[in-house]
Amino acid sequence: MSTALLALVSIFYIKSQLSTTFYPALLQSKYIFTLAEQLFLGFCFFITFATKIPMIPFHIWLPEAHVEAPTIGSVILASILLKLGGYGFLRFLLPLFPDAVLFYSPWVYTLGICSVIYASLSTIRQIDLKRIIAYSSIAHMNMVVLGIFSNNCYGLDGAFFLMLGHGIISTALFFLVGVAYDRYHTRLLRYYGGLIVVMPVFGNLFFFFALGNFGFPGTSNFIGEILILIGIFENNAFISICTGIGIILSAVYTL
Amino acid sequence: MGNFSKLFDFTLGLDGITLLFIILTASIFVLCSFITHDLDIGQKLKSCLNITVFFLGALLFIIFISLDLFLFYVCFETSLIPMFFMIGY
Repeated sequence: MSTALLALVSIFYIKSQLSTTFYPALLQSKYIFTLAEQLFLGFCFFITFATKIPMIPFHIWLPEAHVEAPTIGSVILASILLKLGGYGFLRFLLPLFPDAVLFYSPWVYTLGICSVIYASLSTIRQIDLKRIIAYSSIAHMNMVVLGIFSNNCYGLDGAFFLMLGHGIISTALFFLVGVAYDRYHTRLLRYYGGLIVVMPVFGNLFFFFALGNFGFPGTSNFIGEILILIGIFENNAFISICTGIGIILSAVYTL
Repeated sequence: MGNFSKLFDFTLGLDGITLLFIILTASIFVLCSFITHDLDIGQKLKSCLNITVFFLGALLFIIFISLDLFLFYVCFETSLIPMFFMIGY
């Protein structure tokens, strides 16, 4: 991915300015980046991790990769590789370039809300089961981004919680889709009508994890989404309302 | 030569954020190895897939526990290569 080269450029810039890339040394160094430097470096890191998340201009690769991949590939892709973007935001972008985060947060909110609502709306009209889960994971990971950039503790906690919960639940959903694909060799939704008659345990499990996916109260995603909503609401109520619309849409596509 | 080796030494570390990700990664890779075991493909292809999966797992562990920005970047990019082979096998 060519966007990651931006991070390489900024890592070499940090290396040339501070002469180290050791993370605790970066945190404790006396050298303070000027605002222009922070904006440039933060932008480079943001583009790199946003490709991994994926946020809206860079999100095309994810559904294609999920559809082509075998079960195990999409499990690893959805549960861990998507978390790398959120982990990068949490670990590198927030502590190293705080001014850049404050400066860019309106843009990030806009992108994040667009991604959440766009991904939810395009989930509704998918017929491939893997594509449905892929688009819903785009929506969830963009809620994680909103939580991370909400600049308070609730949002951060909720983002972290939602990342872990989404890691578990998307894994379960992809495994279940893999089980069904092994039996029927199709992933199209319309051929799965009446599945609960022939595979009752499978059907109930799938229903349970689908509830978990849209954050039914009592599941882990609910806690994450509620914390993110509280966190964003302290910052900006309008964004919180848009995110709430995103959550309602997620309930729509899951059912 | 001393400078050269100094360029490539790195430090690993673990904290609260990383620990949960490590647990998540470890449990998911155990499940993935179960799935690989049951796949209905040839023995040679299966062993290739196993190698890819464990290589990817090692890379992800290094990504999460690396305390060095450059090492993080290198593993972040290298993890795309086994992913490419896994998607296209």
